[in-house]
Amino acid sequence: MRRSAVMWMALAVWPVLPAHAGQGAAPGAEAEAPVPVVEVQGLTDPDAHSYRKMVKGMDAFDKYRRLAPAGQLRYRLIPRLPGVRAEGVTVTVQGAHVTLPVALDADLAFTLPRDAPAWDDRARVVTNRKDRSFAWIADVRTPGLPPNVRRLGDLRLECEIDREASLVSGYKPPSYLLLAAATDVCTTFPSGQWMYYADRPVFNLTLVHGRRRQPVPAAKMYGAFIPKLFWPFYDFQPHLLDRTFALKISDTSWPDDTLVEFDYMDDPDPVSATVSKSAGGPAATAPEAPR
Amino acid sequence: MTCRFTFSRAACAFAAAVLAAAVLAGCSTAPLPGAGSLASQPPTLTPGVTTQAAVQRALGKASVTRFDSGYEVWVYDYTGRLPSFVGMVPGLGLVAGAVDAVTRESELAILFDRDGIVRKVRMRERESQVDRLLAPR
Repeated sequence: MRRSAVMWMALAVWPVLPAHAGQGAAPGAEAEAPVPVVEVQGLTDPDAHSYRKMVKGMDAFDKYRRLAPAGQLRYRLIPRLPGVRAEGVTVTVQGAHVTLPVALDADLAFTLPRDAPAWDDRARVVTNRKDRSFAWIADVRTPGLPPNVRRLGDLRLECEIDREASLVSGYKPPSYLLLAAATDVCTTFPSGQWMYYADRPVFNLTLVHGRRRQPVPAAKMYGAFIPKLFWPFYDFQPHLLDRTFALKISDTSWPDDTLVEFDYMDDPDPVSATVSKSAGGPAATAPEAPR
Repeated sequence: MTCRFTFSRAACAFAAAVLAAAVLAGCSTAPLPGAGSLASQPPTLTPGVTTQAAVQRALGKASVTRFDSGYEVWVYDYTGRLPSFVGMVPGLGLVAGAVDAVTRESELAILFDRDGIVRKVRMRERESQVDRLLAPR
């Protein structure tokens, strides 16, 4: 069961709702529509997602395009369990009367066509792997950046897309649904932060804008921003923990063209570091993140 | 310490004493991990060489995150903070807030590979609230 991603810190135990609860329906259009039966060859519980929601995510991409004027949207699948093979994965827009094959890039990313019959058919975007095999994400990239650099506006836009597409899993109590309906959770609630997956296991992140540099603290890395009680609701457990981080994207002191530098765990780093004690506390002569 | 508003001189003196005690308490009850070792013999963390045992001997116990890959990230928090009760003492909340506003959080992060050998080291210092307000835009 997939649930929308939220940075919900409340400790009260609420029932967890499926991601499609209270969302996804065009006003008045879907309530009376019959629910079609979707047959998927070979799997009774494939990892799948609502086509309509993903199209609404594409609408959000258009609506908030100012955050990433040159950005390009693809949806992407990230294997979240150790045994999930990336080879041979297929994606299909599947409805009762519609079947649209979707081309997958090498990194399991894809774009979806806007298809009226598939919309009317309440189709699903279906993989040939079992449910919860993947973390589904919206992936916005501004061309021309180095491979270890993301743009903050792109990441902000991914959050706005996910508000509609409800791709990333997470703990989503009813009280969150109410607040999410009234506010933009990407910018205002609870502290305007959002969870992301790095391309590879990441050790250090740095926000950079002009001469201003700001490392992301350990409190925003590896799920530390979510009480462990709620970890089972999130896709980062168990396999993606080392790729998980959160950014306080609501902090407008960092403009959209801020760069986020990724220092990946497996990048070479041959420089030694000496820890010494200075007047203000210990300090380390450590290398800067690779550019 | 300058007291205004409705404080009497006695209250002002009490507040100053509490603040001083709080600062001292903050310094004495929240020692930096491994600070003694650092002062006497700064350790060198050499990627590919230094072991977890050596780091723990030098710096003490860290906050540890372990991954499926066998890698680990150890974090030492070096942020000096006032005890939380300071903010609850009448009249000292503003002082505590001011201290917080100029405090830069810092932490040392160490990445170990699956053999328990240092792979990377980063010292992270986060800008204070004042730094953030004064940051170039």
